[in-house]
Amino acid sequence: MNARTVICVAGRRVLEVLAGLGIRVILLDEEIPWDVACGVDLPVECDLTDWQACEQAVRKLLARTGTAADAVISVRDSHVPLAGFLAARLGIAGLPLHAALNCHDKARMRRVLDGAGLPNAKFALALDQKEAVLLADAVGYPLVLKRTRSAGGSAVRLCADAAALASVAAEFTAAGEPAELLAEEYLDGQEYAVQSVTISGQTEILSVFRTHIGPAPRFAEVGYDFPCDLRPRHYGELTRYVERALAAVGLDNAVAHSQVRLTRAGPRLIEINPRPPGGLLAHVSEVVSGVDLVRAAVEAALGEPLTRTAPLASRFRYRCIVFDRQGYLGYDPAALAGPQPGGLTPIVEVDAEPGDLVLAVDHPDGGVYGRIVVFGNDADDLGASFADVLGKLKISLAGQPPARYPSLTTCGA
Amino acid sequence: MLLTGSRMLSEHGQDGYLVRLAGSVDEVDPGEWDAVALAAGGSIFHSHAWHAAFEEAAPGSVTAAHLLAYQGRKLTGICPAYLTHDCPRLAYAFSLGLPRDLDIRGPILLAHSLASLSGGPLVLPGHQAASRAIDAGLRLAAGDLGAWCYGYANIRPGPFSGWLLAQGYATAEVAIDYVVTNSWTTTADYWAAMRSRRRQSLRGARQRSLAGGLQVTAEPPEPAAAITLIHQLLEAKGSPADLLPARFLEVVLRNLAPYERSILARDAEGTPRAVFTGWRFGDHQAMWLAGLAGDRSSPFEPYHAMLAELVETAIREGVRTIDLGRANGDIKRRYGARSAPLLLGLRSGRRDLDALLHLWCADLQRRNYAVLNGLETASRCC
Repeated sequence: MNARTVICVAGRRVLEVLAGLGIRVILLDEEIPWDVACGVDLPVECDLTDWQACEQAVRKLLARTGTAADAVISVRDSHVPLAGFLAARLGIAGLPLHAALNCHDKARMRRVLDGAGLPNAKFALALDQKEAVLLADAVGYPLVLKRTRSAGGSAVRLCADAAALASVAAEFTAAGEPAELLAEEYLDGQEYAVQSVTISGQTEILSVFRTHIGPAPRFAEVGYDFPCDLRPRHYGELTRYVERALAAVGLDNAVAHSQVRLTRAGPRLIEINPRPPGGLLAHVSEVVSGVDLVRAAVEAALGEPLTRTAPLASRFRYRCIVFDRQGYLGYDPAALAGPQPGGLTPIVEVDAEPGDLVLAVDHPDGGVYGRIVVFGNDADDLGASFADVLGKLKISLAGQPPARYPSLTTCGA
Repeated sequence: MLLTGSRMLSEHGQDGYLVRLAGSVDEVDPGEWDAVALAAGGSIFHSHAWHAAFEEAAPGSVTAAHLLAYQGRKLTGICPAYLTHDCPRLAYAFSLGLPRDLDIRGPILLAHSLASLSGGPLVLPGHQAASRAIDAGLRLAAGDLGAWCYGYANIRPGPFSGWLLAQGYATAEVAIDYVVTNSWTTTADYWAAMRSRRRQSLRGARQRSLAGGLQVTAEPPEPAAAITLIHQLLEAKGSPADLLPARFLEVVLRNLAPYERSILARDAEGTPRAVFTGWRFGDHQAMWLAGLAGDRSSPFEPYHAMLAELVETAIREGVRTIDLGRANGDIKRRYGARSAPLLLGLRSGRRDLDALLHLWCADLQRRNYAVLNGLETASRCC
């Protein structure tokens, strides 16, 4: 049997998975470091914002090498639409382009949910700052203001009143470029992260995590718990809603990481990411579901059955390292530990060096500085394990930089 | 190409709706057609009279191919549509830059035109599923009529446009319309609800025009004068007159005379200097076109006085929504208008071609935003 060939738009971890599956890889990226290029079958560097140039480059490559590609995938938010475009143009498997666009553009997603008659957050759009200050007329306060086409929390702010809305709208449009702003009613309720795979229109929920959200205005995700401890009725309501939402946006032959809030009026979608979750979430999902979401993304794109293994644990506690104020970080590097394949040892990652300045979680430029994950099968053991890891890490926050760092004044900054 | 009369397009069993293709609006009783349009909250651009005019003298080259949804013998939905061989506005949109490999050959089946301020299907309350049956009918009709793609022009964001996104339509916001929702009982309420500085500013602008001898009234303009003013404004904006040929305007003004709610500005000598051409249909009033004398007056000299007169007249008549049309958003917003995007949605049924339509629509929308933000200019106004 001929080896299958997959065109992969950007990505790194997915390349290892593809290689492990014996799949030939055409890697498309803006810049491909030599070590990465050596690890793939056919590297192609091109401008990923010029979709037609990408198509042309791939067509040339396929013609020159006599290769036939089977599917296109991307596990990076910003490139998922390009993967859908290439799949459609080349006539091969991949996420439908309209589904990619419906997930990528938050306003489109809201419109699609309305079109499907699904419960949805109230929303309104503005094309400039002057219109933005009027958005509350349709949505009410508090509202959440977002740019329609950006991932992550940096372009999401809670606005409690007209003054906040005007200020945030000015910030989001400061670059002077056209920016579509989306105001959504603030959805009050517990948030859940739902991991799923959809093949031939059938969605399987792989895992549901209880999500911990940081303070306004950024709402950074600061932790996850599994199991999610939802009552069966609410669990069913939540997962059925996600299945309907995924069908509405047209998602197929792909995995998804969806964020949903369970409000008093029922579940309401925050967003759908048509790719595996980032960071350690894909790993912890595999530990508790037995399905590697990156591998599942490849298998779903190729229309192949999922590879499943027995779950290694029935519980995890995942906490992000965040701070309620700014300061200079201290911790014991000896306590750091990365994920171990097949292992259930705690994971401890810190993204900053001891002595680095860190910002509060509610600071616009602040965020998450690391994560601690413990696994187990018993809730009490999980708590003890987490406390043990935290004790060994010895995190501290100082008001002054350590002596080995010159002060800003000394530097003359 | 002429359609050979009406026929049942499909025994589309979806929720029991049958869809018929009609080669002319004349195949449907005007009262029956307008009853659906009114019950569905449609504007003049869905009226029987508008489409009778459009069939008679549309800009470019089009053939009527309307979709009608029936439940039993009852007309439950209308979707005016045209097999569009040539449309000046569409040609302009294509001229802005098509993706390589997007080879346009043959007509488009469009429901219904970029010239109007609203499009798409209208269905009776409680018959939302008829829209989906109509969409299925549009697809079948496109195939039968040899259209390379089909879709909707100038539809508003809402559940139907959301449903189109889910079906894989490539969509773009191609223009912004400005609409005032009338929530005032009297004109005094309207002015009182405005911030005092704005009220003073707008009243001042109106007073200056009137003090200069301008007379602004709600009255039907003499057609020839209106057409001259409309073409003079097109010329001033650098837009070609083929967007709105005189013959088309003549037929529209004649057919829609019973609905006319135009605003006319005359100078001290009684000569027409500016016009807002518009109509009332049900609770909805639409100011479709503006015309302005090309000499003497500064571009917006009569504009404030006319907008104020228009809004006041509409409030007095109990109109629910006042559509102020495209362009000049900054000024229209001061009178309480909010922007309402107009969407173009297209689909070919071919996955590779649809991908290019998505790409083209993304570029079209980017250009529209750039124009709105003053980063680009458009050479097609109104």
